[in-house]
Amino acid sequence: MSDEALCFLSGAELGRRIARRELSPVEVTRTRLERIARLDAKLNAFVLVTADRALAEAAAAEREIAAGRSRGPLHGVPMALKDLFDTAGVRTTAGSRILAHNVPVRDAAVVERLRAAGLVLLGKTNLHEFAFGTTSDNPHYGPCRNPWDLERSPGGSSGGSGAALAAGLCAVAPGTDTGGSIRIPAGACGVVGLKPTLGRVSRRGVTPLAWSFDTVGPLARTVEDAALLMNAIAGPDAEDEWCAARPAEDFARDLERGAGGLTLGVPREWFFEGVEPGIEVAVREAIAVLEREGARRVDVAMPGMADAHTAHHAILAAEAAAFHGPWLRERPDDYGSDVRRGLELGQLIVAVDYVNARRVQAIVQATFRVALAEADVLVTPCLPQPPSRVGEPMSREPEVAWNRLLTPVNIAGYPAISVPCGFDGAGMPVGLQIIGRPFAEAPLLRVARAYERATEWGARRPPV
Amino acid sequence: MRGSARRSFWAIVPGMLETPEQALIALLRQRGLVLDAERATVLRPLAESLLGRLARIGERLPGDAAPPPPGVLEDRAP
Repeated sequence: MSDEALCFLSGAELGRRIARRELSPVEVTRTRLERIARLDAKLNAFVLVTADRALAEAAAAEREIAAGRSRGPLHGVPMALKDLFDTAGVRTTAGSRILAHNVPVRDAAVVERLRAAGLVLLGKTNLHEFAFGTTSDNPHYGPCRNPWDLERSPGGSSGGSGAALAAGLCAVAPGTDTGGSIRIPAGACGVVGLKPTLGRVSRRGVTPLAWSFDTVGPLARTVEDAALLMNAIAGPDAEDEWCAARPAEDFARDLERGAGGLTLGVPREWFFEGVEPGIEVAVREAIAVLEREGARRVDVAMPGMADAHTAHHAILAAEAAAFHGPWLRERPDDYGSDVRRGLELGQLIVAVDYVNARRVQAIVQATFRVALAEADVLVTPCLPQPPSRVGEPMSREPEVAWNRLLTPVNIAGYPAISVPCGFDGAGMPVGLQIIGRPFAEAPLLRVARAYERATEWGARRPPV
Repeated sequence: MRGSARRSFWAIVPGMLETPEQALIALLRQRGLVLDAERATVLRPLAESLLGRLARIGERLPGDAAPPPPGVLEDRAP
């Protein structure tokens, strides 16, 4: 097998071959490190590569597996971590100048769980500063670029993770999603991204953006990898009061059950308005594929989504402004201009507006509850437009915001996944967003896998 | 920004109604932040848009709309 082919094996397949001792974790890790060294100057997906440590972890995995002490299906598989997750002894910047020299003493809860599952850390990935933005045009560590078109953004805030996956620099890459930050890079880079239900995964040790929405979840090249990552990271955490007590489950259990018997809800409003024609064509064809796979389609009402986007923006900006208040007063010039402006805007939101945004949140949750009483999942485009050019400013206005099809899911707290469903007229990947009921990630993964199995979009490789 | 939304926002700072940018600078100064005139010019339309939309939402929210109750999502009936 060529090094190139090895770098595009899924995490699950790598794990299977490593478990059978057909592949060495050290060989797999070294191949990825060489690919990072060759390609990352173009992509700027990593802010830090921990090569020596990765090789040591891979060697340890190899010894454990040889001794019959497997840690599970991802043991020895190389991962990249968004530089928002605390990593003990490894610099964690949150993409900021303010935390440029921050070296945590303890791993984030998710990192502890991934290490327990035996994954190998290749390094920390680039992101939008403090995860507060949708492009990953980072003013301190340089802009991250999309492997499908180096002049375009990979999306954000987990842009380095999406770019690294699409380019075969890592096998899996957990991210965070507060206003689309997992699904945006998944859609823009043609990979899989799952935002779990709020509270499904611990956030301890993750730099906050907005407490009401911050969600940790998987980015991966395949749906199976996303399910296996969920198995590794989900579950209660006594040290995170926002983490639900609901026990962990096997998210891979229903992957191969197909879409037969499931009902797809297609929103009548908002989610298909103002969508670039090439994207709409790809998504409507994806819905037709799922119908051919045995799913039934119903149209559902989803009113009030413009207000949902506005209320989400208000809550996010206000909470971010509260968290960043001390740094913003003491070190304002250390912020990039767009993030500083977003935080200043958050300082202007008065309590009445915040409470009214909360009232909108309850209305949005009721809207999703009703729609998902008629359907098992909702299907929509992930992004309404192709990725912007690197450096191009992004609007947060509800009619044009790049994340406007995603933020209603964040304010509802519901789970959603983006899975590749084709390419638009500009040759950029298109994502299909599938939204599910609270704590029903397994059915989401089942639908996504049924679609993935019926198509080959996820197997395509970018020209980088 | 239109109507009552505009009045309610810019009238927060008594005596600072000469320009909205001055009001912004004063508001942020109250919070210990420094905003120069150039950045106030960029911030103003963003603030007018978001705060205006929030004001209009507030005007039409039904009286019985309350924030979400505490507790996890799964406990709520469809």
